[in-house]
Amino acid sequence: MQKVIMVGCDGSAGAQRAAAFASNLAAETGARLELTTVLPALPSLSAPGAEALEQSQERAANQLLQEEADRMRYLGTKVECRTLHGSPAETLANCADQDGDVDLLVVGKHGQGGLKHALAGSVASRLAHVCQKPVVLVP
Amino acid sequence: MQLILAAIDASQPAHRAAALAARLAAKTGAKLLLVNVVEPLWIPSDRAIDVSGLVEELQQASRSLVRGTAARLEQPGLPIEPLSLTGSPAIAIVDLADARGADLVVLGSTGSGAVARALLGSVADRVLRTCTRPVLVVH
Repeated sequence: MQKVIMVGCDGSAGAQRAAAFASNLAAETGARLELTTVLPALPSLSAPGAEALEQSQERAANQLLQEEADRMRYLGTKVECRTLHGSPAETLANCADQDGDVDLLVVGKHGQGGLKHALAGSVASRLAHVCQKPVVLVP
Repeated sequence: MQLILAAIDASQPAHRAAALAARLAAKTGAKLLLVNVVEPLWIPSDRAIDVSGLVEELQQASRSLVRGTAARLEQPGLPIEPLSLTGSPAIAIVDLADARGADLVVLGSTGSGAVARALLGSVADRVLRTCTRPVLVVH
């Protein structure tokens, strides 16, 4: 628990509780937090507006992460933000697995939007299954 | 964090879960509650068999598992309480977490049964779905 705790963020109440849990844990262990959100890939479209939509989604996601990060920095936690693209559960899990500094992945049990769809059914068992790193599911 | 509950059996994931739980407890100053649950034997009602010896043997094995694990994880400043219970594992774990107000429940993804790794073990899956506290799953 010396290094990095990765938190899956999607703006849902569950993700916020996960972020609060991770923030407390980071404060107690001295770990750094990495707030991560995953934007589901858009279908490839050629009509005008596709690129603008993508950019606007990215801006909104970054803003969401920054707001959460600012709240945590205010409490003295070291925080970084990361926006990824792809299928939410697998992307989060792969990212946690491939980043050697990540000790723990923390996610809300019930997300919304992309996460909810990707993890429909049993959010918990799916993410806990695809990720090889230890996963905390926060109700 | 005040109390971390690690639910263990004799499996490798449980072994890793207990080690991680001990590291977390040591870092956060929490107490570690190490629990193993013995499932009651199923005895067909048409047979009059004296199973008291078998039950005693199972409970004895459970007690030595938690005590042995506690001894292995022992370190200065880390209070560990080994506990052996009898009941339905997932229900007993969730009830115990609630009764003691555990801040985190830690458990291995699969039990000692030779079930394929394709799915979470049934105990982990059920604890994830029913526990209203943060649950950490370790592969």
